[in-house]
Amino acid sequence: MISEAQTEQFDVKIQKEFDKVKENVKKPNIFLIGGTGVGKSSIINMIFGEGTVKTGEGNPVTQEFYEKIDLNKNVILYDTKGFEVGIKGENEFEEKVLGFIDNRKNGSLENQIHIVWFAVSGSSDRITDFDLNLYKKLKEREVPVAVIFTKSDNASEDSLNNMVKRLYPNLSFEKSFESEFSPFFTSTDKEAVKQESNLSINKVVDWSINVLPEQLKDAFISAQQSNLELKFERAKSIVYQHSTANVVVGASPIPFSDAPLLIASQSGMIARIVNLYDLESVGMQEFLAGTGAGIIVSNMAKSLVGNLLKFIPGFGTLIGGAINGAVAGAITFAMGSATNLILHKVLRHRLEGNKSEVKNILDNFGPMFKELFNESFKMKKDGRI
Amino acid sequence: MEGYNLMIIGKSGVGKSSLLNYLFNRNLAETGSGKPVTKEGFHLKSGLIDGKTVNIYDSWGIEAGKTKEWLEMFEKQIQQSKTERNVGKWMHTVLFCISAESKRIEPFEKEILKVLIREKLNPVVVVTKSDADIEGSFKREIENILRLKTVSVCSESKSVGLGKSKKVTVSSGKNELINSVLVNCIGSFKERIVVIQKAVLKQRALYGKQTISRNAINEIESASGIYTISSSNVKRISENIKERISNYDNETKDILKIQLESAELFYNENIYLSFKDNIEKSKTSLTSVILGPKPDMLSLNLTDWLDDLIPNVFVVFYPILIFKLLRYFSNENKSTVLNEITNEINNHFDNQYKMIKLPAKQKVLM
Repeated sequence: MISEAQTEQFDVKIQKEFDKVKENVKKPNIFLIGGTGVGKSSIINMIFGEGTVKTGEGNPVTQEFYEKIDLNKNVILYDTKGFEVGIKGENEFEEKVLGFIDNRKNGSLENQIHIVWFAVSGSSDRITDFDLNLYKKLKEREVPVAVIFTKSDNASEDSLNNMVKRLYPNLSFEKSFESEFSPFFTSTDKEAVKQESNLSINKVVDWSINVLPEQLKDAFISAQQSNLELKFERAKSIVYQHSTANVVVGASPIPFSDAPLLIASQSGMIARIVNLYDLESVGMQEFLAGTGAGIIVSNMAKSLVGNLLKFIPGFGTLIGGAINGAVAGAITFAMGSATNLILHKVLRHRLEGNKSEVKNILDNFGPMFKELFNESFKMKKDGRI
Repeated sequence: MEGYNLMIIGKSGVGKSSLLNYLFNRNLAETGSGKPVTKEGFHLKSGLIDGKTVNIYDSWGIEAGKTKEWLEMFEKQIQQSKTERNVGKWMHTVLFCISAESKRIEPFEKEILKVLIREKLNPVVVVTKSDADIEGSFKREIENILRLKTVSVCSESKSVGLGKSKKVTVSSGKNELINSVLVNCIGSFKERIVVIQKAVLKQRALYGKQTISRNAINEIESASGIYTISSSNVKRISENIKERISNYDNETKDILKIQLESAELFYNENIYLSFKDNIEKSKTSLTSVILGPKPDMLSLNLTDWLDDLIPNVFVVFYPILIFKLLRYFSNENKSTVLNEITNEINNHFDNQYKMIKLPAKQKVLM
């Protein structure tokens, strides 16, 4: 049976697993290029959450040739100094950018530049020779480049068509607007995006996940905050992976003394899901006691552990007995699904600024988790999923 | 060529050519999208605005990667307008365009703006594509940074936005811009006439120093071999030198006078009148801000300062010259005395140049 000691162990395990996930996460390196004032900072904020970097009116904001932005997120952004007219070394900019990418090309996967986002202001009506040359040279390097036309709400189709044609002689605006491939068209005007889904930054996010190497996808999905469904779907596949693994662990009826083995896999799963939602970076601190990066996971783990015994239906009948593989799988599945559903809800309300809802969920974490767990468990056991 | 001369400058794609077409209400300049349209150099387009002839120099847009070439072109143009004596050919003001869609002013743009202000070109800062700044936050930000008033203009009525999120922009800002242009023309006129006169006088003084003192020394040196020392000979040489300087000064005075008179004429016929027209038409509060209660303040009265410009220095200079010449002919260290005479003449011209003082700064918007 699960003893106090073992449940405590579960608490510690999740925390440990979470630290391990954080430590071993492979972060994609994203290179962001664009002239001063085209709206690079807005792209970052739309994808990774409001306030990730400051945007500005007036004087140019980014100060060096590039700024490395880590921000405790699971991606590393290289935000280039928005190239300006007349800066000292204006002609060296291209050289510097290309050199930076080339130097890293032959290093380890983690060191390479994995994606380039090339931002051009749609309402500037212009692709200059400078833009064009830089773009061509980037393409030669076989690094995935997404051209993002910002401020499209202030651009005319005719003008964008001419700009698209200059970069892609065989493409037209019409063809590119509804496609899933670069170039993309975005707007910071929320109303415009609501009316026209092709203006959503999510198209850039989807493209980026597609072109990233498999082992870097998790980190990117975690860091982006614009498409919650991506996190949800990714978490679902993590749950699936782990519950299948549990079926193997419990293939033959296992005595409960093997529970720690099960717990190891479950805590790993929970840690991965928690990491995927990256709640720390959206300012959850104000809702929870304590501080630090592990705050979410430690709160979750405590809540889980406190309720663990109650979570498992028919637990009493299992005392002294064994859990068979299917049940073990269902338990894992239900734990993962409940975690996924609850975190998805928390983050959605948090991003929508719905503070009272966030607080409500956190206050009722235990009962809510139990309910979701039971539902999922039944569905899995009855073979409905 | 009559009328005002304006220059439009700014980054590529801010809408310089569109602004020109908007002001003329005709498609005189080629506009377009996709890539930079206006070619290198300044391109003159003339037409009527409110019934007045206006000549606008549309310019090659500033582009990243090509600013060195752009600066060379710009500086050449500035140098040219600096030495232009014909008032009708002056650049009367500059429309400096910053696009509201970029939401930025770059250090390089600020540098160019500084040059324009220094050269008394009194630039009008135009926030173009103002449909991207409906709330005016960018306009206010720019005014804070530059400490200058700006005019927001949207030059084109067109459909923007994509797919299901289309909207229409409506052109606006023309009248306000025309008013600002007129105000700034007056400001730049009053300040630049002095700068230009100073440049003319400097040129004349330099040339005078080179030729008049050389001639004077030549005359003295050749006289010392021919004439015997006598007071009448000394007097004759002195008279010759005095006359040469005096003639040269009168010539200078005439040049300045003609220039001032033509400036006054040009000003009264073009700028003053159209400004008055415009004010009467618009009846905005602008008038009282710039002009105060009396419209007379608009007149220039340029010739007032001309009489003081080249004073008669001979009351002092002539006796000194005679005294020096006497010393020269008594063989008292000839080369030193010649140097002293040269210096006297040079000082005369240098002092002229120093006489022109910039008038008190005109109170104009911006």
